[in-house]
Amino acid sequence: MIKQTTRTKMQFAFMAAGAALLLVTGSGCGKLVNGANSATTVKYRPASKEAAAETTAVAAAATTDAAPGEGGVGTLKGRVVYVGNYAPLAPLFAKGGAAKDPSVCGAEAIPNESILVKDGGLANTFIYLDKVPKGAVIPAVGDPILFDQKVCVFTPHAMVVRVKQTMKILNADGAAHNTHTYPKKNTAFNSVVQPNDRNGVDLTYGQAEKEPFTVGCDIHSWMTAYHLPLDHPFGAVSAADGTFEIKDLPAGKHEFKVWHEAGKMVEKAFVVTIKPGDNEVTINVPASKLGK
Amino acid sequence: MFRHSSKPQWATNASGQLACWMLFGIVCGLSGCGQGPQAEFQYRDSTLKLIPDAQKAMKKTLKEGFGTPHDLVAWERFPIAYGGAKGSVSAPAEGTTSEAKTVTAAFEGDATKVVKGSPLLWLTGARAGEKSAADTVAEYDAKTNQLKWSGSADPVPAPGDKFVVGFGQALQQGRAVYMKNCMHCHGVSGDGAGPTAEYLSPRPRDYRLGVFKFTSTLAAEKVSRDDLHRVVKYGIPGTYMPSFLLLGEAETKSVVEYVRWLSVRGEFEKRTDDDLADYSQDSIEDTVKKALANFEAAKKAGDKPEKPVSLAQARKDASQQFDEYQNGKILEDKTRELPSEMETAVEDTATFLADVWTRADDAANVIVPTVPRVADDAASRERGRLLYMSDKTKCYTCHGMIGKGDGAATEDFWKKPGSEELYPRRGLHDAWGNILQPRNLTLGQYRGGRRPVDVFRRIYAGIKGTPMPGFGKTALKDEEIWDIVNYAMSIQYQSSQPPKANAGGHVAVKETSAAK
Repeated sequence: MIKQTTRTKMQFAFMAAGAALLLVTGSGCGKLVNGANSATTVKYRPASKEAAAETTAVAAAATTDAAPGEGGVGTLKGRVVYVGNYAPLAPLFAKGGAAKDPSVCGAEAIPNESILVKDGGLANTFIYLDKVPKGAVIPAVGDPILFDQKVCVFTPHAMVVRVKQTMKILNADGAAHNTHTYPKKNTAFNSVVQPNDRNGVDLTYGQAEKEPFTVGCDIHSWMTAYHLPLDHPFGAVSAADGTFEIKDLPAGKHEFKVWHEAGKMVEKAFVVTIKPGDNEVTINVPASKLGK
Repeated sequence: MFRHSSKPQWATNASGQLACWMLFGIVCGLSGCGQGPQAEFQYRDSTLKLIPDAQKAMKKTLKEGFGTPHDLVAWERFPIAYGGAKGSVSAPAEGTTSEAKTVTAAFEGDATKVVKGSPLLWLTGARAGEKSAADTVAEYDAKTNQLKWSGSADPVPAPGDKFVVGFGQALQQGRAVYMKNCMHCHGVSGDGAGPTAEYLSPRPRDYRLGVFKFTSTLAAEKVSRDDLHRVVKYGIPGTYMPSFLLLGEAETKSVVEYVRWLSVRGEFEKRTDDDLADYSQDSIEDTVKKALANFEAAKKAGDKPEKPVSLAQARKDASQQFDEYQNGKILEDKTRELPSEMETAVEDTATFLADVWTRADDAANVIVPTVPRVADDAASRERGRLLYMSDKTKCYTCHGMIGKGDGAATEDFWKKPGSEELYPRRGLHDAWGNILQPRNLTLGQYRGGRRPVDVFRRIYAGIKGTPMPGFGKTALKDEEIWDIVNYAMSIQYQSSQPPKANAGGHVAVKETSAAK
């Protein structure tokens, strides 16, 4: 509790200060200029810097400098090994138990593909270079690649695709699916593929991505797949037994990215030195990296 | 202890009253006299999570490319109509010396706004650059096309040199219109987080993904100027977006350009951040955490693994790597390899954005039905209804059996894209992470416009940034889409209750009497 005397003094002080502030604020306030209506300037920035022209020249020189396959090319044959105890995952839905369209999606059990291990090998792991290595020969984009939907499951579950390569999205089911991609660099794709469409809907990615992204279906919430568009052929997905092969790598040191849906970027830089001919490698992925 | 009083106690207390006045005074005093706070562009969280060096570089790149809300930068790279009258020198004025500072000008379009005092920007030739930064129009004669500038006499422009009078005026006008009418909801940076935004549902659009929902363009294309123009003019029914029909044509046009510019800026930031993902604090922490978990697991298994790097060391390493990413790899002869990866990435992003925003206004990318609207008769509506209920379209999974927007999909828990995590609330979500209700078709309210062609385009290309997929070219023929349009637009006139068998209806009574 404040004593009476102090209180009177404080009252006076308040009064004085308040009056002073009111005087300040009340005097000469013209139009309020703030962030919204203040004057702006516009600076012209040309489309490209002078430096940009030089750098393109350097870049062009660099590509022609590198003699293709100078040090020879090698093939990387490898296996992704799951380190830990693996218990097969229960299916998402038992046969006949699909949450939507049981007459179509219930024809088989819907597997949980988030971690698939066979004889110790880890499937659906992406092994890829994120940039074109020096001296690499980039072959033309190949034939259209197929992406199917069977019994409300995407096949393949994980795939690498070349930029500008046509992907045909098929549907083997008696129900419509809408294939919906969630890329970072490319434009999202969201189109219905009609029942039993065996000709397919075309999808082409225009940009390389740094990491695989999700593909889903908004009609059947459990459907998930992963796509990785690359602007070179140096990427692979491990098969059911964990094996993979990447051909025609220029000899030398390479840093591969290793990505799995359960642990995302498992290795940022898995270093392999490629010698001409066959090169073998084992990539160990501990269960701890996959959140197990 | 409660004592009833007509006034709260603080108000009956004299010194309390004074304190209130004083507080008022302080608030007024601090808010300044005639000088409000400066507007600022907010950075994305992904920018603010970068390690310090990367963050600094990112902010610098953004500032060089787009400036601040007070000092805008108009980067010619992007297809934005920044404004001004473009022209070129057709001939130096005859019979005069360079001291005359006069040329014959050829304007590309309307030159009526070329008046004395307008800033004159030389784009090419000897006068381009800083030396002529202060040039203005001293005199212009529209009959003889004689343009006189005020500024230094040298260097003399040559025929063919390009210039703009009043460059950036449209952007400035757009900015003024935006700050007055749009900023409250859409935010200074176009992030959909203005001061009013948190009270609104649906939330105002965040332009920074470069995605707009209601477009006339193909599924893979951006929003066109015409689409944005329509939304500004007529608003979005069923949302807080009002009609700005009272803005003049010039103001509407300029604000559309400003929104496009904010969208380019936002997407530029997002894409560059994605490129810099390796240098984000989150990514570094994640890598260290995983390495540590590995280390512990290996130790448990009886191995003698190498000790992983500490977080502090990992940050240091990242900072060093970033130096090479930004300035170019250090080569054996200690020079840098150019262009640096960052420079290349920024160039690629700018090229990409320039390309997609140019394509958006290409007439070839506008959806035009190949057949005129199928007659809206009972047969067409019935065909539409059957398609709506079919396994071919599955419209009902989201929009519900009778079009109430309450289909089974709204009851599911959905995965967040790019993660194994589920959204905390059930229901469909859009690209901005907001919960999204499929349109209730019984209300007859169409956000993207109520012309049949608007609804046709929604079905043909889907709605960008949402689970609504496109059906055009792939699953449905244009005639079939029209049938669904006819059905969907008739739902609002139908009973919202399924017919009941024993409702005491006229038919049921008749049947009963017949049975007797």
